[in-house]
Amino acid sequence: MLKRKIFTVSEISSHIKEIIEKEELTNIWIEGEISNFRQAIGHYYFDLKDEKAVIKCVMFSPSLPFTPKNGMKVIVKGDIRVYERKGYYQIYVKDIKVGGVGELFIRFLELKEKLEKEGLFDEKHKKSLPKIPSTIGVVTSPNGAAIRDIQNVISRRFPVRILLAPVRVQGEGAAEEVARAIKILNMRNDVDLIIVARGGGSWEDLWAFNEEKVARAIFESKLPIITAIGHETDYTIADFVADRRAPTPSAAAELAVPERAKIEEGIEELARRMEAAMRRRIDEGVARMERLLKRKTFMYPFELIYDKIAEYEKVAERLVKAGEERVKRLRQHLAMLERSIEAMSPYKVLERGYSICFRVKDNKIFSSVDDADVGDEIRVVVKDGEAICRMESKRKK
Amino acid sequence: MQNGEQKEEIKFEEALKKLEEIVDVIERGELSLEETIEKFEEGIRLCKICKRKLEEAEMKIEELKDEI
Repeated sequence: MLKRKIFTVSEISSHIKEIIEKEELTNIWIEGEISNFRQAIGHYYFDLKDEKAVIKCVMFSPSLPFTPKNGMKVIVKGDIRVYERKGYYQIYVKDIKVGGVGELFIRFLELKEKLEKEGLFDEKHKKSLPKIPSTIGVVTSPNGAAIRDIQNVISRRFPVRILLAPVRVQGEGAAEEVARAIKILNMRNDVDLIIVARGGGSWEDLWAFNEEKVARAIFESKLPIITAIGHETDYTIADFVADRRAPTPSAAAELAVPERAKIEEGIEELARRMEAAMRRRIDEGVARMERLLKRKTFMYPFELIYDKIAEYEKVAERLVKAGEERVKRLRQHLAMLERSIEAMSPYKVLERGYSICFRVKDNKIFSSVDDADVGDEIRVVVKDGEAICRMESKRKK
Repeated sequence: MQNGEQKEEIKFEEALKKLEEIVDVIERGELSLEETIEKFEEGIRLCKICKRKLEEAEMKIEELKDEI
């Protein structure tokens, strides 16, 4: 691909830049000697060299506890980058550790690798911090700035009890004291969070926090631990093992406690929500009751009975009416019967001068000469009485 | 009131957590009215405890006496 085309300088420079500026050449540590050191507009420019080679270095806006000098043996941390305008590559330095630390630094890297392999830094071991600790154990020097900073932040944000475990934070025995303090705080039952803190210092000053004892004590702690060691740019082994790492002791205190005002607001909010929910619940109950009360049974409790009574009365009325009607009709019928019977009565004819004859012996109508013989008694009924007669003779027509 | 006093020994965080749970339960609205009222009363009590604990909070600094 490269052979097929003629490149411009910029094109090939940019290509080179791409080849060089890889992940593996960022955040690397390089040991060497400073030469050709100069400062310009607040930045450092120097060469880093050993017996056989030299690399240009630049450090923008450096914040180092010392000023580098020519001849200083150092370890620099930075990224290799290509400076296209001048046609060379250089180290963009982020940090410089002063000479003599070379050996310590190797120990640091070795321990870091070992503990990392063991899983001491694993995210799964990180404990969550209590929302509001009741007592914070602070492992630090009783005379340092760290404890004062922590105290200030805590009294301002959310005052809680601080239990200071006073230790030496540098020099011989410091690591042992820090480790032991962590263990002691763990044995108490009133502490629920530990801050391990130390103010800024040189790489050697912070060394106690790169010791395996401290790392193990932090790892074995049942209580969550926040570390705040040195400056923002300093990372110690303790920081890697800790559950949280804070850039400064003040920041650790901020991680440790919430702001009281926020918590108060939170409680107010909970109370409001609870009251609203309670009100809803009650309103709901009242509404249900009202719905029930609006039902007929409660609104007009006697209506059902009234209905029944009315119904009954209607029936009764109908019954009475029907009875009366029936009686009336029967009466009419009877009167009519009476009239027709009267009209049909044989006695009616007697009025007009007729008579009716009966045989006396059996009171049968005598209406034919064959019905009686001579000598038989005949009763003759007329309009105003009767007469018993004896047949003298008979003659058939 | 011995019981009450004992209950006030509850830790702030625990009280706050309980309060949150109670609010959730009441908001879900699945409880009977009696249970709701009971929970509500407990919630109010926890609110008071939390607020009191907040008001009472003061920074004390003590030093560990154990030999380190």
